[in-house]
Amino acid sequence: MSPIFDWAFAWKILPALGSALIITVQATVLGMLLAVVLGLVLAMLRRVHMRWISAPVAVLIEFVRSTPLLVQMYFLFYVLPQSGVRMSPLATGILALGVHYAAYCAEVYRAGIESVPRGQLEAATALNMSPWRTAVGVVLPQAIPPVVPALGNYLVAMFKDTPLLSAITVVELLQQSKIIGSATFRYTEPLTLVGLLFLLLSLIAAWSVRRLEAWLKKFGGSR
Amino acid sequence: MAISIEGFATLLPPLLDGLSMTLRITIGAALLAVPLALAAGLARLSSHRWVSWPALAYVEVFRGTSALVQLFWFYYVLPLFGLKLPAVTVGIVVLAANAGAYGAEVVRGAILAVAPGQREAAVALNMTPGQIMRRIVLPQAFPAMLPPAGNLLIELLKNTALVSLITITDLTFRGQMLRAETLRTTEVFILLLLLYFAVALVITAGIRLLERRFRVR
Amino acid sequence: MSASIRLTNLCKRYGELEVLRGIDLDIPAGQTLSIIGPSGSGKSTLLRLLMTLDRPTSGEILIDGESMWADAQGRVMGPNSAHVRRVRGKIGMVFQHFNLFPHKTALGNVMEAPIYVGGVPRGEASQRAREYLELVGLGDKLDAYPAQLSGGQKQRVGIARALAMHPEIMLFDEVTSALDPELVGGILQILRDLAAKRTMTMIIVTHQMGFAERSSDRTLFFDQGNIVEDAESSVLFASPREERTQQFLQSVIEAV
Repeated sequence: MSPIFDWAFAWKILPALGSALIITVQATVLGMLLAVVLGLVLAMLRRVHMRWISAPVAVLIEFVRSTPLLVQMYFLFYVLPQSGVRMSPLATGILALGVHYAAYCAEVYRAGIESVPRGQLEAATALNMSPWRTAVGVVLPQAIPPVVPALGNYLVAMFKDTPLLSAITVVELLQQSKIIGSATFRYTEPLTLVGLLFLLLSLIAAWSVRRLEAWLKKFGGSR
Repeated sequence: MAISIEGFATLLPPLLDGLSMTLRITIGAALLAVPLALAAGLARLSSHRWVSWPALAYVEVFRGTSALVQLFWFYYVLPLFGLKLPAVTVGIVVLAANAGAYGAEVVRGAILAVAPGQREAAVALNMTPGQIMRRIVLPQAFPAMLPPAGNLLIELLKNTALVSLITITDLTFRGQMLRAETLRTTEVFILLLLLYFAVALVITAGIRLLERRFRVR
Repeated sequence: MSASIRLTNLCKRYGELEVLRGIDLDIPAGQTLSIIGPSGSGKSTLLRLLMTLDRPTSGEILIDGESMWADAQGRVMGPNSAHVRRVRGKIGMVFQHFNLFPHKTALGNVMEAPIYVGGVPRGEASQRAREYLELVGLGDKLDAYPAQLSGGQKQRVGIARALAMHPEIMLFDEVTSALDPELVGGILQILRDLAAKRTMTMIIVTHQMGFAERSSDRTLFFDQGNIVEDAESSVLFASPREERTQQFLQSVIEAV
């Protein structure tokens, strides 16, 4: 009877998992970049004073946040090619991650923007600043730093969602471990290693976010 | 990319079948997650290390790893330990454990947020620690737990879609099957998203009702 | 029934910070004692130690000759041990920020401890709570929640709640400091009436100098963790012996 956990085997498959990890990290970083930028756009569109823009955007954000990422991923994976758009599975996955998390980031930005005191807006008006200048020069610089930790937490969450890419044939960590498993009939080692890798990396990332939070506190909120 | 309303009607019956499975898993996992979250949250606050450390380990492991990886791990590795459970059971238990870990932090946060003066007043009245927790702290912590709990419930609903990848015939699984059979990709997925959205709205409304009922006057 | 208190070399330190420096104090049963002094002098810490909310760093607290933290054999006991709970049961406290239970009505607040700590049947506890709330002038607010009460009314509930457990020692921690000026008088009158009855030992930390002078037997002036002066109230206010006491009383008068 072969042992439950074969350490030699685990050691052997590490390189294969390592190359899959690169894909995972790529997806996370690019997905997050898309999410923070698109999220900011969505957050600002939601605050526009024309209801025929802000209302649909609000519904869209709610819709994307409340429905499964997996289904959204399938949607893009199967529907985009039918409309003539050709993207690699990885690119499709990054797009899905980016859009899904943009909805979360939009809510985070919204909280940050709303926490900027009214007095700031009044001062900007008194100085005859345009709405654009007010937003870019006064509101956003005060709204964004406090919410960076929350954005950091979503980065960690996105990292933990990358295994979903395995459902659309991207060979990231989970898919790689399934490939190893079906080839060698040993699932314990690859899955456990992947689990531990996620745990280790997300603990490091969570710790970094906390350090970031503490560092940001130095620049406090006294206006 | 043709879409038709009558088309939707023919697609619904098989999807509703999957929806009932999704709802069963969501409710089952939620019912299991609540006592888990309470127990783990309280355990995290215990002054006995042999109670708080295992709870911390549970919370960190299930929050720090991917839900899908957890599902796969328990699905493939548990049988090796002699535990041959039906896939649905594995799905419900793993999703409950995942939600319970996040819930534990919500419970802990809400209890810590109750003003220290409340505990002091209770001690001054010579109440036991158990009485203080049950009659003074928890009743005040509970309303604060509801909004985050609502979000966790929606996360749980979204996570149920993952069980389609361990062969459970939930809504997403049915959707995939339907897509393969009918090739009406766009309609199927739009319908899927709308159905999930509808359930999410119901959950949100339910939580809001609870919030109103339990507001501390 | 009232109890006596004896403090012997009582010290309390928080890390580097020494808040109480070797307090020796004898309070006979039934006495009404005021404690005045600047913020941070250790007055509230003393009350917290007496209420078992904190443990002394060193020194002893005797309630009616019985050690608060050590049993008859001299063993040190925990805060939820039968021994400490028995001693604690003789002491009640009213807080500066009321600390009423927001999820219970005024009646519910006062009934809570008698039922669950005192083992009193619900009907009798309700009757007792009613009487104490009427005593403090809130007979018509039995079913109100704390959020619906003014600061003065909340403090009255706080007093009734503490009294309902029939303590032998009552501690009042700046109970009027969080109230609007026009509500202070009502609370002080309740304290005056309680002191006149002489049924409990009362220790009152306060900034209300007039009250301390006229309505308490004895006054302590606290500064930087020490008792600077300890005298009969009328004497301390009329002719304070210590210079620091004089300075403090002078600055209080100027502030008015």
